[in-house]
Amino acid sequence: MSSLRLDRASVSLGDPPVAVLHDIDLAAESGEILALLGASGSGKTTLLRSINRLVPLTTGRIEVAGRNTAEIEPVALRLSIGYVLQGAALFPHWTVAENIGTVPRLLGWAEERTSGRIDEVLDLVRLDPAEFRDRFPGSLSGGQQQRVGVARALIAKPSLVLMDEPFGALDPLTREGLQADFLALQQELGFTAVVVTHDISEALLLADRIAILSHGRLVQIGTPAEISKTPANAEIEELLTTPRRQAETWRELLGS
Amino acid sequence: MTELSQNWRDLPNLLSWHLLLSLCAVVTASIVALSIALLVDRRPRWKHLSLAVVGVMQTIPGLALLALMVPLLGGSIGFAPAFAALTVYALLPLLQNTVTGLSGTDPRLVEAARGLGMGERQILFQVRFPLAFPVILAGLRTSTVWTVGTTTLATAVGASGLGTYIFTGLQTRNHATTLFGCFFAAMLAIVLDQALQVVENAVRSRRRAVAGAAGTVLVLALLATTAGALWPRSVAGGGARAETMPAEAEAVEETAFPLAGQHFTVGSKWFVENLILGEVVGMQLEASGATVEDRPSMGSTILFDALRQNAVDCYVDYSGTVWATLMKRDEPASRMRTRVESASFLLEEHAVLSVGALGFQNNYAVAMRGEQARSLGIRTIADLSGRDFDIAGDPEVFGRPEWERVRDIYGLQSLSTRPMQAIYTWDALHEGQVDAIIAYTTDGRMAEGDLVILDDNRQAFPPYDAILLVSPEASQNRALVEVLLGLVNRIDDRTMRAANRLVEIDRESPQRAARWLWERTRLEAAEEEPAVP
Ligand SMILES: Nc1ncnc2c1ncn2[C@@H]1O[C@H](COP(=O)(O)OP(=O)(O)OP(=O)(O)O)[C@@H](O)[C@H]1O
Ligand SMILES: [Mg+2]
Repeated sequence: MSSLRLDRASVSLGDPPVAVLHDIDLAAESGEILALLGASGSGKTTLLRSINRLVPLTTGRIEVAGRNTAEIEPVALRLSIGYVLQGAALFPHWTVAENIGTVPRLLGWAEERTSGRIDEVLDLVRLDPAEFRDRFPGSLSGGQQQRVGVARALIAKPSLVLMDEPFGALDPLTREGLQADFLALQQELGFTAVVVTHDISEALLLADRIAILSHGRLVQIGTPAEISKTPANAEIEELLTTPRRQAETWRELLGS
Repeated sequence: MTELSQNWRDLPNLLSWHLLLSLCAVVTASIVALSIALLVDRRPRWKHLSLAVVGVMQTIPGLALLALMVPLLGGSIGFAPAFAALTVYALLPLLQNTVTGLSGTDPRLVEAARGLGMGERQILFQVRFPLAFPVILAGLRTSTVWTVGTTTLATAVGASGLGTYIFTGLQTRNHATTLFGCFFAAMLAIVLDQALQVVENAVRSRRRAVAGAAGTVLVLALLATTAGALWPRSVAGGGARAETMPAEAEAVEETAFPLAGQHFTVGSKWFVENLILGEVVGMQLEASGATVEDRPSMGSTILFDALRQNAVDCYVDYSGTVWATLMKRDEPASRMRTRVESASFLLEEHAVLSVGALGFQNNYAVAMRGEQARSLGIRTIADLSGRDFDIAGDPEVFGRPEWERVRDIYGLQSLSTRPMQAIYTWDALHEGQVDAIIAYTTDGRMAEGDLVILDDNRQAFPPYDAILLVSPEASQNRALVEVLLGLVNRIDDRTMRAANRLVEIDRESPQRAARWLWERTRLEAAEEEPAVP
């Protein structure tokens, strides 16, 4: 059974309404990492928001773990799905521990259970609990904030995690470290992940499959190998030249 | 006792009351502002409307708002109307900051909260409200500083506070006393502002322990300071006349202290003579064993309303004021007729007892510089007709029907009126800024310099006998009326003018002048004593 399934899902936003997503058909298997790739404004964030009902569908349906989301109470649905927001969006008035403990608090977990679990997820995202628990987001680096954002999404062991550019705006080394940590983490926990990125190298590296959005339409979906071998259109072809060109440049530089 | 040490003695009590009044207003306003802000949250049209309404209320001058609250609250005076007006006044910065603070939350954080599974209520109380908190605190600071300042005006409606120094000082031209009041009001505002600033900074920089500790210390300090106000009056109050109180009132036999153990509130209007007379009445009551609470420097219609509602037990008014302002009569009447008719009017219409006249009249008179009057050949008020003179007088005078009557009878439409505080009219006249003033016949400055009192040969100004009024409830108290009768017919024009002079020219405190005056009434009473069987 697929963990996530979009069936001709369309979304219109704004007043007057403008179509932002058109007839999206998409499915992710349990334990799969699906990368959502597309240019700025192509509708990646909107697609994630439609999954946890932050925006309503105009037509179509979405199933999570086999259940139509339209029939699930929005708050309950959101509590069951992990959500990493673009730019981490940590609550500045709460400590790292309080930020991570948001969902357990909403679920009414006991104090000790939450506290123990906070230490566990901090370890998972490689932040020392003793050092970070009581710090405020304002005093963290961008990479540390992103890790906390991931920890906050994972604490209640959701089977589906939506991640909106979790590794954006970081220096390449930190980014690579985080990506590697994320892969290990996902293998360990086995959740399904929809990871938004506009960086094709990241998509190729991380994903089991890549879905490519353009102007609110799904233009291609496939494994990294399929995509790089047979790009569906010239635009994707163009996208792929960037990592290829970079690879060549590196080879030349290192070879000489 | 010097004026300054008197000021220091009153300070703990007045400061406590000032603080208590300001705090009650600010705390209530905070609760109201929060409730409104939560109600109009996500209703943009209501948001604008509520801000506009509160903004308009803010533009009403503080003194007017205070005075308006008295009739609105059914004529009660003192704490209640002051509290109501100050609460309205404190509202604007609080509401503004709460509304903008709540609207200004970063939308990405609201999105995060919603996306993680918070309901709208949780988003409001766990995210938007805490994030707006520093902004709300800043509003609280502004509001507190405003309110502490505006509370000085509450004296006009009979509430205790640092304004007592300012009002009394201004009226008696005792600048040291005025500055004393201003200084402590300013200090109070600065200290509260700084303390809240510490809390606000701690909240902003997310030092919770510091914010909590500073908040707790602030609340404890405030409670300790306001406790002074809630202390029994006889301990904290004491007041100006403490030394006249019998040492152990209860222990002394009743005939000597017929009012032992009783408590009265004595009011006075905001001018020197009436302040002195308020003190004299207080001394008379305390000499009979009563404890007395002063309500000095009140607005005159507010004071009468307070008497009618039994919020003040007695004060001194003037027959002409009752005749013109309350009875709305505009025909001339003899001194005796004014007295008798006003007394029966007060009793019938308001159940207020006029115990009797003190003996002197404080009439209006038109005064000019001697040389100017002589060179122009002006001798009567009628001679002013048709001249483009400036005439100065108390703002109250020009608002009264008596003035309209005088103006119409003598044809004074050509004069331009210059309302100013009575004490400044004399300087204005002597310095030639105005040509004539409306003066009071018992004014201590009446005998100073080269002045001419213009003849009121058509008796356009009504006679103003000082009369002692007692509230409906207090007039049932025979012992009280008996004691007050001891003041009737004891003060003549000359004596009253001399007492006023002590304050107006010799810069004595109203208390000292009152003591002098009261002792004279006793002296004369003793001389006549055998007359009463
Ligand atoms: N609330 C809204 N009202 C109207 N239009 C919206 C709204 N939210 C998003 N849009 C529009 O929908 C389109 C897709 O936006 P979306 O945020 O999903 O893009 P994105 O792919 O996540 O871009 P980025 O990579 O910059 O984050 C954009 O053109 C955007 O202007
Ligand atoms: Mg986006």
